[in-house]
Amino acid sequence: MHRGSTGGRRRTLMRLVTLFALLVMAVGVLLPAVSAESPYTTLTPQSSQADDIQWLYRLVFFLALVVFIGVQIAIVYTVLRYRRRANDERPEQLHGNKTLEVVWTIVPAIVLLAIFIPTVRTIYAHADEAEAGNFTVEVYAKQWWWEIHYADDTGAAAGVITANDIVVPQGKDVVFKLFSNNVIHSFWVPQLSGKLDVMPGHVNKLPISTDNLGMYFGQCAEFCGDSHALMRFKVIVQPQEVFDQWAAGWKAGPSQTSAEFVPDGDLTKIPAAFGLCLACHQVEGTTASIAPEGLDEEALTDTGEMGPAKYAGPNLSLMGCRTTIAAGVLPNTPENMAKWLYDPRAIKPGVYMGEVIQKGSLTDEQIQELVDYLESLKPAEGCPQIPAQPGVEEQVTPSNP
Amino acid sequence: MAQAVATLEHAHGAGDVEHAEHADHPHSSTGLDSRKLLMWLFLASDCMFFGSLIAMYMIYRGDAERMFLAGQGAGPVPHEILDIPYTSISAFVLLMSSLTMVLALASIQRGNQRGLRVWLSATAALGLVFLGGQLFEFTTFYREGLGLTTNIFSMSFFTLTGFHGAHVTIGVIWLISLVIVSLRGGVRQGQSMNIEIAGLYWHFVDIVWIVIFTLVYLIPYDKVETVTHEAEQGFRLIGLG
Amino acid sequence: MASIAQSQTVAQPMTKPAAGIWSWMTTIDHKRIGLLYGVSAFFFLLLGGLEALVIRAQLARPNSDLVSAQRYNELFTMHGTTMIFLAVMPLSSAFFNYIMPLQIGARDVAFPRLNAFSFWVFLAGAIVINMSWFFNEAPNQGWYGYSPLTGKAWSPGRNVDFWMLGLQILGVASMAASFNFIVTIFNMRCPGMKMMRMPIFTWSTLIVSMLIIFAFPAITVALLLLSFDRFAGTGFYEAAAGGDPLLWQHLFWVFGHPEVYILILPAFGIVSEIIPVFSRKPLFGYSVMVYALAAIAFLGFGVWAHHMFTVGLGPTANAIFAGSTMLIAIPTGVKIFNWIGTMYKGSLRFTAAMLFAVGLVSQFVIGGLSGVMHAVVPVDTQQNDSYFIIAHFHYVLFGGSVFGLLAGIYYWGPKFSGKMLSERIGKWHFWLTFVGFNLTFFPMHFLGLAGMPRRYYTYAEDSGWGPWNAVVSFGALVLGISFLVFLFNILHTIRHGERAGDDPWDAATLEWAISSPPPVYNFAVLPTVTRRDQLWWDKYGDEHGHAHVPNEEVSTTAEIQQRANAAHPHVHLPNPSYFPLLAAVGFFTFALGILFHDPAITIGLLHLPIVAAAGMALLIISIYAWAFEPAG
Ligand code: HEA
Ligand code: HEA
Ligand code: CUA
Ligand SMILES: [Cu+2]
Repeated sequence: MHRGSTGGRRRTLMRLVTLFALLVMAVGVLLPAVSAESPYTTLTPQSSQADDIQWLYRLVFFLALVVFIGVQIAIVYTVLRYRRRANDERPEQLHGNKTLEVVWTIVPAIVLLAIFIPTVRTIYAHADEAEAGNFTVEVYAKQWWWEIHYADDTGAAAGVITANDIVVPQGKDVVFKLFSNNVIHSFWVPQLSGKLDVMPGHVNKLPISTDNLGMYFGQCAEFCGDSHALMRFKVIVQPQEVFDQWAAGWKAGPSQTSAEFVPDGDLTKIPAAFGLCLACHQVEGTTASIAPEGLDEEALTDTGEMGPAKYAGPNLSLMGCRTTIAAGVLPNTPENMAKWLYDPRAIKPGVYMGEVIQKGSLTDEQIQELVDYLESLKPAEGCPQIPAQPGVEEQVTPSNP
Repeated sequence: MAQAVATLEHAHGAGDVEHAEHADHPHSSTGLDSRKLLMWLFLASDCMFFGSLIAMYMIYRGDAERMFLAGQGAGPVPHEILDIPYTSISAFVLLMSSLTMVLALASIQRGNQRGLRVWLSATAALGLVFLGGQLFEFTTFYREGLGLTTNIFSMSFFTLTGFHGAHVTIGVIWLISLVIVSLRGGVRQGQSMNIEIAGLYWHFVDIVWIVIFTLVYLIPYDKVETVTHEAEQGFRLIGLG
Repeated sequence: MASIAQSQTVAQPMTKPAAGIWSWMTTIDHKRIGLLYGVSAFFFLLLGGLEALVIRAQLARPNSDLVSAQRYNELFTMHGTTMIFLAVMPLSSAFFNYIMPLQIGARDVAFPRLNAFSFWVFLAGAIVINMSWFFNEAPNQGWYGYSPLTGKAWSPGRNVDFWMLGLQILGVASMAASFNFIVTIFNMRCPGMKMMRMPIFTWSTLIVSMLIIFAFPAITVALLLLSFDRFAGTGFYEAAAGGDPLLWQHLFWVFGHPEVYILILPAFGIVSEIIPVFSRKPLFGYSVMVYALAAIAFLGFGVWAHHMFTVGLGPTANAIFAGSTMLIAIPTGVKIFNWIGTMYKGSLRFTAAMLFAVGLVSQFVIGGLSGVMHAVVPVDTQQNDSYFIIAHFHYVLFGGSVFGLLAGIYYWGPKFSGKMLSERIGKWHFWLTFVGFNLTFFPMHFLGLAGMPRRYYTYAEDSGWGPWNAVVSFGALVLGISFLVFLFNILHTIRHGERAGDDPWDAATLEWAISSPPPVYNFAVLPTVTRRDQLWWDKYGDEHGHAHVPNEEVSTTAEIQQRANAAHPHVHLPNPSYFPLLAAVGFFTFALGILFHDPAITIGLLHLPIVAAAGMALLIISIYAWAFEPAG
């Protein structure tokens, strides 16, 4: 090769290098940019487990980026450098090069080893943490909502049953035990941890330890039927005292705030319109306590057409304090509650409540009666203040109290 | 579906009878007969088919008994209902049919048409005896309250042994068709390949039964046996059983 | 039949291809069957793409209600199923059928009627799955149909049945075809065509066929057990009945991961033919490329559980499968680097075919690398079932498989049709596809990292996913246009494409030694090869460029064929047969019978559904008829 073209080659090479340097920066800038825009982002972790994952992600991402750039430079260089000029020329007929081929077998192997070792470490670390929790929340995934049970090691909350809003105290090693008596779902709070499937016939444990107060967005990540996209939930990390206060409020049953909406002010009673709801819903401390829960033995095994598997509905105690209606679909406001009660399936396709309540099943009066009652179900001193979500640019304001 | 393919290979096996001879020099890069190679490949694939079914059986193998001991679960369980002496006999019958199959092939290779017919028919007959035995076993189980859906054991048992039975049935039909062909003066000495291929299939089905017989019947269910134990450990590693 | 197709005996003349629909329905010519596969697969590629366009229209903005949740679930299930089983697999099969026998110097495949059977059965399966649209009961459980969602309790409709039976039938077609290809490659190679002289595309045919015959039995069993659960009331996948939904996942992915290599290796084979030709250099490290193919296929059977990292298999299993999965990066890397090595110091000519081939080399790497990220289990728990996965597999499936197959169409199109596809339109097609492809699928990485799960028919305003989804949908539109450009190119070529010679690309493999399109009997006399890249040696002599001058004693493979052709040879070919078609109709009728719970008669314990039984009868009868029909 004579000088002229060597210079040309160096120039093309330089151009390429700069081009790809720019590309790296572009990608490097873009990723955080897209990350912080969503309340479901995986890139601003807020728990020790999510931090570990993020660290691993950074490692593989940059190694992959290096490989990517290397390969693309090689391609673009070859393509620009060796385009055909004279149509009769026939290049030297190389058949291969053993040393080269050995090199590009070994090098990737080394890179992969560098990824594999920390991977295995983290796998086992998280497996151990799943066994070493000190605060157990049992999660029953239903079509298409989440029933939450607080186990005995949850102190003030032991025995509390709620839905879709998971309140946990700050600084605990929380373990979520996942059950399903229907189809497969997947429990995913991107900022707090990776996802874990909820498998019928298996019990999975997901550890989450965080000191960061906040309301974290969760969602179902395994396809589970019509409203798979509408199976959201929240994990709300509160200071211990706020948590205890909330649990106490739940156990106390309806407070005076509900008095004006129940027959002759008797808080253990329920409004007439609620009669239809009894089959599926409960309210702690009232006569509405016959509905099946996702938890009971039979519900766990009965997957039959009519089984509680389908017909257990959310426990409505402290409904007034929930952030949302219908598993995160609508902010919990009186207007939305009225909309939901008017025609559930219009809001959540296939929801089983729709088999009992369609358009016109309830009169406007009944709906008003129910909205007033349900929105009134909150502690006398009001609902706990809900903290904002850390690590997210555009805050989604919690719609309560 | 494996069955369907099986039937097909058979069909094709016979299909080449007509012209195998008026090809003056059959071409084959490996020297192997193409239809024989085809059968070998099909059997390799069928190994995966039975492999999956047997894996399924091994995963659920202990469960019915465990539920039984725990006082849950319905219906008869293996150690109550499986009749090893009875099945040993039908297994022996099937083994013998492999022998007669060998004799059938030997006859045609010596150009002995009568021998061929006799031994093919014998093989088919023994196959039918085995099938009859299985039919009888199934109906007895059914009477004793073990239906297809009674418990996890019945599901996996009937499915696994049933699909083997289906393979045997296809084999018997194939053998009978060959007998008819040879009665029509079809099979000449030069075409012993048609018999050989049928033989390959028949021996395979036979071997599969030996595996099934051991895993389903011979190895006791009530006490922990190393073989099944190892298997269970393996499956537990990937979350099964 | 092998013997016949290969025999050089002189019988009735058979030089002009027969014409008319009937001749196509009874054809057993591997070239025609290849074209049948190609045309139907291309139709389904457009259909699956159309479904994708509706998906993108729905997701273009938040809270969209263009289609209902139910319809959306049908759309992504059918999109995935169609693209994998009805578009990419049969399109690969089209090339296997048409090109492979030519490359090994054979007159046909080993079992021509079995080959026809495979195609018609494929068509039957495709119709069974797609007719569900007309009953408004399209499959809606996702392309890997996890139980128990597919159980009667949670999917009482017929949606799952269409899918279940359709896939089962497609499985028969794929396996039958694969047995045939393997025997053909082992037994029908022309004199001198040693295994290690075979073109690399033929190698990929062999290895993909091996993958198919060993992987499909697993899904066959999985689907059989599902059929029993749905039709006979068993509970293999029902926790309540003592079964385990996890069993389905294992059986499916034991098939499912090899399946993804079934989808990519044909494309790898195609670009391994194209890159050397347009670099005017032999494939860099031929034998290593062969071993890499084999290694990928072999390792592919040991990684299935990487689709189940979030299922809770336990740390040991997860660690093992993470390791095995990462290993596959090594042989795949070797292929990438060897392709670049082939181009290095070559004399590169950028035809449309070459553009798509190089496009594969650069774009597949992106998908491969995201694949390695998934192998890192903790990271995968954040990416699994998110759009990051969707990005991964579209980079490998579209940037890999589809780029490769499009390259193949531009490269071998002239051989199929005798006409050149327009290079000018072809280049437009490539750049439109390249831009549209990256616009569509690169932002999906961002959406995944921003936590957007897959299979969501809608998403809320406050999720923040709106903007990138708009970009993705725009990209899909560009892709749509690129396909219209391609369609135009094809029509334009059919109308007034210029004639292609026998060897328009100055290629090295046997299919270019004969006319385009080839005569019915392919080779007037069986060629004899003495080395790899035989035609290059004919034309340019050995490695060191020492030209070898053709003369009376030494004449090139092409010349030999031309002379023999000129002499109007009488090649004996097997007769056409309609029994394969009938057998396929039998399958179809059987499926109909089962789907529509037809009238049944009860004989003792036996409950016999009439239509289904009739179907089976037709199948068996036609197979017998075919068995005893003289093959000519
Ligand atoms: C053409 C099809 C195809 C191909 C070829 C691949 C190739 C690979 N895939 Fe992919 N995959 C799919 C199709 C494919 N995949 C599909 C369809 C799904 C989703 C199914 C569903 O859920 O619907 C999926 C899902 C999927 C998952 C599951 C993710 C999840 O659901 O949670 C994983 C996990 O490990 C994975 C990994 C890999 C790996 C490691 C490779 C490797 O083979 C890639 C190897 C290639 C490279 C690595 C690039 C080239 C190499 C080099 C340049 C050398 C240097 C590289 C390094 C040192 C790293 N894939
Ligand atoms: C080879 C396989 C393949 C190919 C080529 C594609 C191609 C495309 N896919 Fe595919 N996709 C899958 C395989 C494939 N996909 C699989 C397996 C799934 C998982 C399914 C599941 O979860 O179960 C999936 C899922 C999937 C999703 C996720 C859906 C969800 O999870 O909710 C999306 C979303 O954007 C998507 C988009 C696209 C787009 C835009 C294309 C584009 O590339 C399409 C480009 C093609 C066209 C645009 C067609 C052009 C046609 C015309 C222009 C009209 C002309 C028509 C006539 C003349 C009749 N795909
Ligand atoms: Cu629950 Cu998806
Ligand atoms: Cu995979």
